[in-house]
Amino acid sequence: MIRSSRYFVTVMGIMALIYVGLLLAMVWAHVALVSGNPQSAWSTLTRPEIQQAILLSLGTSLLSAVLSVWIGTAIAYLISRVRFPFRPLVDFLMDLPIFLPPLVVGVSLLILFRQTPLSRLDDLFGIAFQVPAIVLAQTIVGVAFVYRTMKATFDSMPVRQEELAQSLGCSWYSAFCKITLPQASPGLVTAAAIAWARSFGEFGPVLVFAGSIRGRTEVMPVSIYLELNSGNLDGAVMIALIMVVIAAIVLSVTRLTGGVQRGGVRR
Amino acid sequence: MIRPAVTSLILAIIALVLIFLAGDRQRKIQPLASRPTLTVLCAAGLAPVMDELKTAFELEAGRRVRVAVDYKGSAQLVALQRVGKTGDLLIAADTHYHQHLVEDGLCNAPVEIARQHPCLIVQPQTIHPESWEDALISGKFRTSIPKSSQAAIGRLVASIVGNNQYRAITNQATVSRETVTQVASDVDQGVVDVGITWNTTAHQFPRTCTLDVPDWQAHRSSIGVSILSSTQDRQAAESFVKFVTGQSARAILKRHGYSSAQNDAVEAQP
Repeated sequence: MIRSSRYFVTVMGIMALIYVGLLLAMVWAHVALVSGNPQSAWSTLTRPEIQQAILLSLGTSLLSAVLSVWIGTAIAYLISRVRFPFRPLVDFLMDLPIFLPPLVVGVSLLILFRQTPLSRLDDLFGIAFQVPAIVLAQTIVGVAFVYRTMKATFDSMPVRQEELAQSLGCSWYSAFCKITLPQASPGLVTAAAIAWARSFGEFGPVLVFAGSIRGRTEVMPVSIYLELNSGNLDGAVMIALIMVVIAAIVLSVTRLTGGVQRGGVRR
Repeated sequence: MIRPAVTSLILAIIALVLIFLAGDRQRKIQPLASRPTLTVLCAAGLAPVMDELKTAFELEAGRRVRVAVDYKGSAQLVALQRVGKTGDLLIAADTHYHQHLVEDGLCNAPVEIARQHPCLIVQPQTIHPESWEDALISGKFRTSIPKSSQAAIGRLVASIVGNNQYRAITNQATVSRETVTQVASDVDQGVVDVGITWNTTAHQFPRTCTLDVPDWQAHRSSIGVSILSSTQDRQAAESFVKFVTGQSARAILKRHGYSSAQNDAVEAQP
């Protein structure tokens, strides 16, 4: 290795070391605080409302991830393969939930479902401040992340094979199902993992649109907020640790299924 | 296409089962889940006392009514109520917040349920400051203060010490927070030495010390309850107001460090 290359790799290594070290130190700080007062932390876990929040978090984030993958993938394929008027505008709009402050997403949903004719829908089905509001708030943001991942995946795939299949009598739908989707499956798994992780940790929009109602719309990030407001830092940190453990498990499963490490396209 | 569709379907079913289990758990721990629900929009700092009041009310109401509490910062509750127009009752950290909604016709005039006063909160091992100026302006201590624009206590303290002094406190502060609980938490965790908080918030952090400032004690903030115009069950809402202003609620509030108009009158007697 020539000398300049060694410096280059060393600088990158130092940067990686600092960042990974910081992340590990953060987790260690959590563990240290919890181990300092294990009884208080454990008693938080045994509380029924916290157990309910864990179940609700897992359920809503999983449902949001599934919905996000379907919607995000469909739009990403459309934008990647079909030319139509206002395509750049749709592409821009899909990024809105990513760069808007999360609270704004929540406020926008609340205005939409409480101040516009859509409020009739809310009156009929009970969306705002109920479980559907959690799923909707999580999905709105999740779709944007799936879209970004899947568009990059579809853009990097050659169109030639799809065209070839169509020229041999395959319908567009069949070509998508039999050629495009299998090739894009690693990207799909990555997108699903990102959507799930984002939904699992979603706080701002959920707080505003679904409320922080104990026993009704309390997901784990809301539990952390409520515990901090009650002055129970040990409890808040314990819930955060559980979130880290659950996220680590899901990420490991995703890696085992080949989504994250292989990149977006199966060759 | 079939494989992703089947996988999605299985995951969606698992998700729905988990959501159902969460709901089922709620029904088990709250047998009143199927009963009419009163939604109370409550200041997040009042969470510990409110949880207790809620349980006591449900028991006193003979479990006919269930109470769901939505906790947020008072200013946030008021702002979102203007948009959301939902819920039955509002309990903010200061009756000042209710006035905005009263003017808009979104709630009735608040009924006072408790009082609290600003104080200093310090770490036990910290050398106690001689005065609030020494604590907050001298620069000898690291301080955490509530923002006067967002927290009721910030506005109250600014009105007591004067805007110029509060500006000096703000300039000297290590950190400015949106809520008093964050300030108290800063002191509790040793992030700062001194903070400004309510006496009732300090009560939630037993590892800290409270320093009452004589000039500040007389300036009390009133916590009030209002019935929102969006209520679907005015009778139940009125019964809740009656409960939180009653004897048993007063005892719970007192246990959490809150005083009431009645208690203050008794204290004022020679």
